[in-house]
Amino acid sequence: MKILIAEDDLVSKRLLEATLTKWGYQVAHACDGLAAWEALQHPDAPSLAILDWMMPGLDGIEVCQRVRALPDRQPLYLLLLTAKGARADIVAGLQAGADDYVTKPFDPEELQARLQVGVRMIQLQQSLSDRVQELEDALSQVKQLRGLLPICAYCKRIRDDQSYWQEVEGYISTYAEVQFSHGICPGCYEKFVKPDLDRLRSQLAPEFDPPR
Amino acid sequence: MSSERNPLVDMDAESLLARVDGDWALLKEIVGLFLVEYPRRLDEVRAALARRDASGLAVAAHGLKGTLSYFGAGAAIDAVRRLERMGREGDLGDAEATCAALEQALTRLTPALDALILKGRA
Repeated sequence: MKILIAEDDLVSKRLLEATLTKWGYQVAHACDGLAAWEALQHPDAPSLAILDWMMPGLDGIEVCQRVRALPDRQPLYLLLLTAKGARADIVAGLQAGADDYVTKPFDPEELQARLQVGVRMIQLQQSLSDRVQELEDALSQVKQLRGLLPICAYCKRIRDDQSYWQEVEGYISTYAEVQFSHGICPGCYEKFVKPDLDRLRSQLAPEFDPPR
Repeated sequence: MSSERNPLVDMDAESLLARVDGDWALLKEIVGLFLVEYPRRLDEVRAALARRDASGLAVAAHGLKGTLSYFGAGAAIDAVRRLERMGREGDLGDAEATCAALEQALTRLTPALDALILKGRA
């Protein structure tokens, strides 16, 4: 996983880079807050960022605030690294949008554990985002039959959204996951089919009537 | 000398080595970076003090504190922490004396760092 380090202190930056690389992370650098802000807006921005609080230009707090205000952004875990350790500072950092906070000089084990929390968060958010996409795709495929349908009182054809009168089977097939199995109900058999059959039989009677 | 008996040590070599996981090449690198970095930051402290800029002093001292923190430089960190507090509180009465103490601590730190590097070459 890729991590962005935004730190203007050369010693801190080098130690972070060496430590993170040893743990298997890919490291990207920003020399100040403005460079960090630009990097984090990029579509391929790293999912994790370690931000120094006091930097020239934009400080870590401002970077957190700007990043959190971005709409439709990929999951991003922000960790503030700073020599500020007072409780009020920690609260301010977290309220500005940082996900976690590590004081200088960083303890390697603590930093590693906190980064692993970040990796879990990113992976969870990504998996949720993938699942939402799957559900949205599935929903778009679902046919839905709902609402007020204009139907002819005589022939029972239905008027669709394009003002085309469709046979009811055609309309329902378009908007619902159904198939039709055609049959004849007893009432229609008596009313329509039986008279037709009787008429046909009487026309063909000399050939089909059995000998008396 | 154990840092527990005397908190104001010039440098905590043991912690520093642990921090680089025994990597002497990395240690040499960060010592080199520090020796390049700290004079600039010290100049910022002096300049803020010269123009009686309390908030500038707080920022400059904070930056130097961050760099020093990795070396366990107790005496220097103590002085720079006091300067940062003076800057935040706007009380620069003792700032000159504290800055002098900081510079003294730094002049002891740099040979200690050089000695550590030399030891690593042995």
